[in-house]
Amino acid sequence: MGIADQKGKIIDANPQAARLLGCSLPELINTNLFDLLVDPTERERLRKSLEQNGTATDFEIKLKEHGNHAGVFLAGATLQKQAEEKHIFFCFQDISSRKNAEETIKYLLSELQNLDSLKTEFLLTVSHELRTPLSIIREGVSQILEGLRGPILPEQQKALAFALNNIDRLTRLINNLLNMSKIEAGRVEIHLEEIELLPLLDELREDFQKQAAEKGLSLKFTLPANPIQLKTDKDKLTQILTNLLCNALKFTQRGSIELIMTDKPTELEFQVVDSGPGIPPEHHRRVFSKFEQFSRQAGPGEKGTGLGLAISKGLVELLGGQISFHSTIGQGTTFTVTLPKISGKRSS
Amino acid sequence: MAKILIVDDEIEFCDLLGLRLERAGQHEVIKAYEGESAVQLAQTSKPDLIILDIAMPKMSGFEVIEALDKIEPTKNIPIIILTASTSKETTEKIFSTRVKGCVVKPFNPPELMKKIGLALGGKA
Repeated sequence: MGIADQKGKIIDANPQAARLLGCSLPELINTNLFDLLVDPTERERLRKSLEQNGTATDFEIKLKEHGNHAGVFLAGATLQKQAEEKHIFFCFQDISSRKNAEETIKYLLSELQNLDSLKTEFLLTVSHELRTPLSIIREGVSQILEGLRGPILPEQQKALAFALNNIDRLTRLINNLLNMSKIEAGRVEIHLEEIELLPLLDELREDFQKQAAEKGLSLKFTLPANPIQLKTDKDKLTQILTNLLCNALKFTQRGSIELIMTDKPTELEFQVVDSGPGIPPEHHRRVFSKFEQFSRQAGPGEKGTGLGLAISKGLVELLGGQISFHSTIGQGTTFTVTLPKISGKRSS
Repeated sequence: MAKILIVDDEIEFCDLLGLRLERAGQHEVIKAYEGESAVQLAQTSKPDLIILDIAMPKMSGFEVIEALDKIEPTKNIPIIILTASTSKETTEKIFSTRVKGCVVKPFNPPELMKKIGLALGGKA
């Protein structure tokens, strides 16, 4: 600690103060306190703070031997005895350990960011390399199954249908892993455009009608009578609603699935309501977490990846909206997505 | 019935897709396994539609589009991208070109046939 005159000239200090700055006490005496701050803006901030508030904290002094790292923390206060001129009382604190820790955290953070970026790159490359052979396998199986390569026996058809289902499962897994990784890395591309919602929802209804009928479920879309436009990313909205409808279809064994769209003054609300078994309350907290599959069942049927809802949440937020759910055991679950009418949030 | 040029460096994929377009879509199919011959074939055969891969050695799908756009008889041929790449950069670049549609591998046959129909307009 030490004391300086009104102009900042150091009049006296203890040896510890000099040692912290890496100089001798005589060298410190007569040095200007403000000159210890290299940045002129910081010097001015210190001067103003002392003048206006009488105190000043949070000033870091850069030491030569520490390169550009601040190693000493300066705090000061003005003192004025009656009739005497103002003096500045100051103290230094060694913050080199804290600065070193901050530097280490910064370094580790940048390493983590690099690793995250590498992970996304790796997933992109792996995804590309997997998709090409997968597309050849899928197309070959698909052509035999469709009879494009000649007639096949029902037993062969059954085996190929299993194969095709699992090729699609593998494709979904690759897509979901990649999508999740892109969302987490902020690398999702958002293409905003003015779209007509009713034709998009009609297409979705057509896609899901057959699957619902195959399970003996009724599928209903309750939509406004008038055409509705929304500036959003069509593919992302389709993906969100597809994920929610897929989930409803997967977990509902009897009853119905309904998609309700409500046109509100500033937002559009989409609700997917199912009459499934409901989500147990102890799982509610983790519904939108990654790799969560609360109702996974053995046996035939579509297997999920546990990423659909996490991806949906990420995409809804990228479009500037919100997603929530309400579930009652034995009665069913309702997922609600609200999207602003103005525009979505762009990805970074 | 339309004449469709498939451009993909994966020969097996080209053959499989070619068969689908011939048998399920009743189209005439011509194939090129790399960009340079694709541009030549487009000039000589004047297809109604090109189905183009992006990641190809020597000449990428984007370079093929650039080359086609410089030639009068090929600059208006509709193009559908059929790619395994889903990176942000590739997607943004695809959206910036004149392509009529983009389908990601492994593709869903009805989706691809629908996009082909739309790109061909009356010729499907």
